[in-house]
Amino acid sequence: MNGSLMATQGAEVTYRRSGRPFVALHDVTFRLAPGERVGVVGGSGSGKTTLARLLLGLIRPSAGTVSFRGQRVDGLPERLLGDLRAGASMVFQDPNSSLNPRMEVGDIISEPLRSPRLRRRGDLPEVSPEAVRAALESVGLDPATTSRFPHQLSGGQRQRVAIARALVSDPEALVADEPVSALDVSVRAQVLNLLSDAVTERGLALVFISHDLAVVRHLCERVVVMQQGRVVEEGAVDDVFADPRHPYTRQLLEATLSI
Amino acid sequence: MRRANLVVGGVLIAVIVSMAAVGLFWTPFSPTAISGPRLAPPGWPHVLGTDGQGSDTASRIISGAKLALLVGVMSVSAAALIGVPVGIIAGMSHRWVAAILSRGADILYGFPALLLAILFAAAVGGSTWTAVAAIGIATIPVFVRIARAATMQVMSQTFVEAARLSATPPLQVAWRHVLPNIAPVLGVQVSVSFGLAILAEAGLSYLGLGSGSDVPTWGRMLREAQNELFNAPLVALWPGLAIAMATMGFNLLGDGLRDLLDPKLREIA
Repeated sequence: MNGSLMATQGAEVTYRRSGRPFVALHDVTFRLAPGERVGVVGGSGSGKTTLARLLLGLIRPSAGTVSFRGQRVDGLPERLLGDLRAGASMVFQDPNSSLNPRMEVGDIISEPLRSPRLRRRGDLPEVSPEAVRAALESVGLDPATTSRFPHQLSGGQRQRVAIARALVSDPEALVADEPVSALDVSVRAQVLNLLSDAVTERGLALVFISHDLAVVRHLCERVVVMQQGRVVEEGAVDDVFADPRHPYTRQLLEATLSI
Repeated sequence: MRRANLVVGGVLIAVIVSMAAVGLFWTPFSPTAISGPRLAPPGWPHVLGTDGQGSDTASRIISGAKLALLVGVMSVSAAALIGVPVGIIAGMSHRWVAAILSRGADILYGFPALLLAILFAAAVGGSTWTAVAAIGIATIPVFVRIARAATMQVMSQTFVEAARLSATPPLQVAWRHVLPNIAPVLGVQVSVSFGLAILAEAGLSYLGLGSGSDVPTWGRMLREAQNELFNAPLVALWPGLAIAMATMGFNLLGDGLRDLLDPKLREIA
């Protein structure tokens, strides 16, 4: 686990679904090195999002460990997760639900800057209109957007706001959970380019969850294929795509080609 | 027709509120003095007639509106100020804290306003304030329940997870994320509770558990009219009508507001 930024070791996640336990992740060992870009692919229900939430300490594993910069973070109470919260952020799938409908864009973006626990890091920008404007400009939004509410923006603009919020605290790792699948096809490429540029410029480590293999190929160095809560194949993007070993990976690749 | 509730409710409440506002400064006659013959029929100068003592009914109705609204405002705002924070805490807490708070609210729910009013009247003597306290306390659990249910719904949304990732302290989550999003549901409940509070106040003063005998209230007027019900049934009609108008007005307004809201929230409220 040494040297990895985010990692899980033999992690198992069990949900209780109407009283009956349901295992969402089986024995998943995952590693993300600093600056590395990893794609996580798989069908719906394969455990991709669960893995993302696990890495960020939003849920706890029922077995195994989760760590950030080599420190265990599973089982820690929220107030001791300062390092993780300051060092990693997330872009959610659907900006309609990940932005508070009753908060102005400026307040949404500056929320991480206002956190006393993140401020302990010391190098955060001050909470100021300038910081918000810079964040808005960095995602290609008009500074006047700051006083808008999310419902006054288009889907693509909303996801840009979500990306600005994720980047404003200058994290080391970004987890993007199908960041464009809720968007219009016409704006997907723009948002993906924005994300890709931000990751490259800032040297971010990226966990990119997607079912779009072409995008993963373009954006990531390594890919992890998941099926029914298990990692069934992983490796360098080029290797896996050129020579898929697992039948499920082949199936995914064929499905993409046939579209 | 969806707005009909809102309009009718609004008009009824506007009538009551303007009566109360006028009553602060002016009534045709003194609401407590004897100003004419007993049980005069509606006419001039006693527009709604006089009661069994010879007091002007219209003046007493106007004066009673003031008290009804006062009791409504005091008891509902006290109940909301206590119940909403407790409900939000319960909705944001882990299982056992939430369970304790909710069971506490359930226990309180077991004490109807009437029982509390009898208790207070026995302990310190009935007054406007014991009526406010009894109605207020009995209304707290309603706000706890509704605030908790609405909070739980907000807490399950992704933007709360995003706030967690931003290391936003719980108090800020409650203030910036939960409260603004549950405010519409609470607004509906305030309106409905207001109508119920006015009804409860009338009930308590009808039973003599509320304001003192020198204060004209709709409930007291109803009780006094009861003695003359067969001689002068109209005397009972006016306070009854006023109570019905106020209660229905706030209920219709609440229903109308609810219809304006997201249908998802309608299930909670």
